[in-house]
Amino acid sequence: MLVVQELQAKIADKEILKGVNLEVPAGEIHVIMGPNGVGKSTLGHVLMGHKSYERTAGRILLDGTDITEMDTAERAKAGLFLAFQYPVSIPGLRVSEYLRNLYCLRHNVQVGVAEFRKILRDKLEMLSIDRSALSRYLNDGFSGGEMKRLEMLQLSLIKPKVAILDEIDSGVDVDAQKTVAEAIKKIRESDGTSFVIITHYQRLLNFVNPDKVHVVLDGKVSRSGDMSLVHALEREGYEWVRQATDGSIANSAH
Amino acid sequence: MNKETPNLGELYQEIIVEHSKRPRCKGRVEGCQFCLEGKNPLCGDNITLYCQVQPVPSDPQHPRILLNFEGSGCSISQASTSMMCESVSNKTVTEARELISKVECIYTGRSEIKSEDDLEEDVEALHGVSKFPVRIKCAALAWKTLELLLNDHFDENGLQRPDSSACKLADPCTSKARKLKVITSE
Repeated sequence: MLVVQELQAKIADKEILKGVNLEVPAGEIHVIMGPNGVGKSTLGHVLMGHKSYERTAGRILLDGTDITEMDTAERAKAGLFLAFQYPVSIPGLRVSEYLRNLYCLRHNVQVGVAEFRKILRDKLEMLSIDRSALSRYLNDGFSGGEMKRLEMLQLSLIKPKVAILDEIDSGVDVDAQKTVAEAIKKIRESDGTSFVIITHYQRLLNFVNPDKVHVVLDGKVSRSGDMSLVHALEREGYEWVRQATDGSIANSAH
Repeated sequence: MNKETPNLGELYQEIIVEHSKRPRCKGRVEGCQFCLEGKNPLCGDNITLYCQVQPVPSDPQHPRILLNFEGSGCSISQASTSMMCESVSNKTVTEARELISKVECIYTGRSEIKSEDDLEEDVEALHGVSKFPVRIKCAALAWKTLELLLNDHFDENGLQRPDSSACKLADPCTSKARKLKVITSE
């Protein structure tokens, strides 16, 4: 369970998060939506402990443990995971080797190559990743869809407590979106992982059926609801939420 | 599309590197039952096998082997030994001998691996060595040494020879003078 309390953060004197509150119980899928530049990705980065952002107030709790002061590696070991919006490519580092070391570190085990490939087998199938990708360099020359599916593969190997997916569905074709959505559902089912999905599109959400939807405006969660909020947004746009939270209209999501 | 060959080469390499970085069953065993040193004098590969047999209550005729090693040398020789110790352990003498001849076919290239771009066991990685005839002896060292060790102490039915003497602790490797004949190419 991830709890975020009054989180504030800035980058180079520019205040971006202005008191975010969020509560994601174990095994739930929460969605964060909002117009560009309101701090959605920043929230993901600050939760993960990105060094460029300065946290000025607030706390982050993971399963009751205060991880606010931990650095990124410690947070990852504690069970927090961030799938990048723009995964970094590392020429020279083979995917197979990278994944194996990742797996060994997170689960504190030593696994041989042949054994590890058996672990990989059905995960590759679930995400329809070709096995030849294993001998390529990490994200080097990968297409958008391949990168995002590789992020999901890492997620399924790491088995985090909470996974933050930053625009996992951008730049990805419909089939890959469906694959990703299926993977999210399967991982939640088998590992009880909570998801925080940052997205702009309704399509992925139709596939995954989120438990809760949060709209972020101006560095704050300004409205929370269920799927009906997404449909309302699709019709009315974010300006409608802005007006509603300004107090002029106290409408429901419908 | 046949992209398998280069991938397999890289896969084999990854396995060999992984075994040489993190060797299994490595370490001296004090007071073990049998031991034998194997050397490739020309390239400096050097291993000592420590072998123990453990009787199984349900099958007293066929005790299981436990194998450890010490050694130094090139990655291929050490990785090959590490794989061998891992795969032979808990096998009977007869099974170990079968594995020895099976793996010999792998590293000499006499048997083809089903190219499915994947593998069942780590030892299949030794197939990559067959393309480099001068390195076959590095891969072979471990297996030839084990073969000698087993032949010294067990008869063809896998039963311990009555005259087989245990390893002498003070000088564990009395058979240093014995040179291993290792086939490099056929």
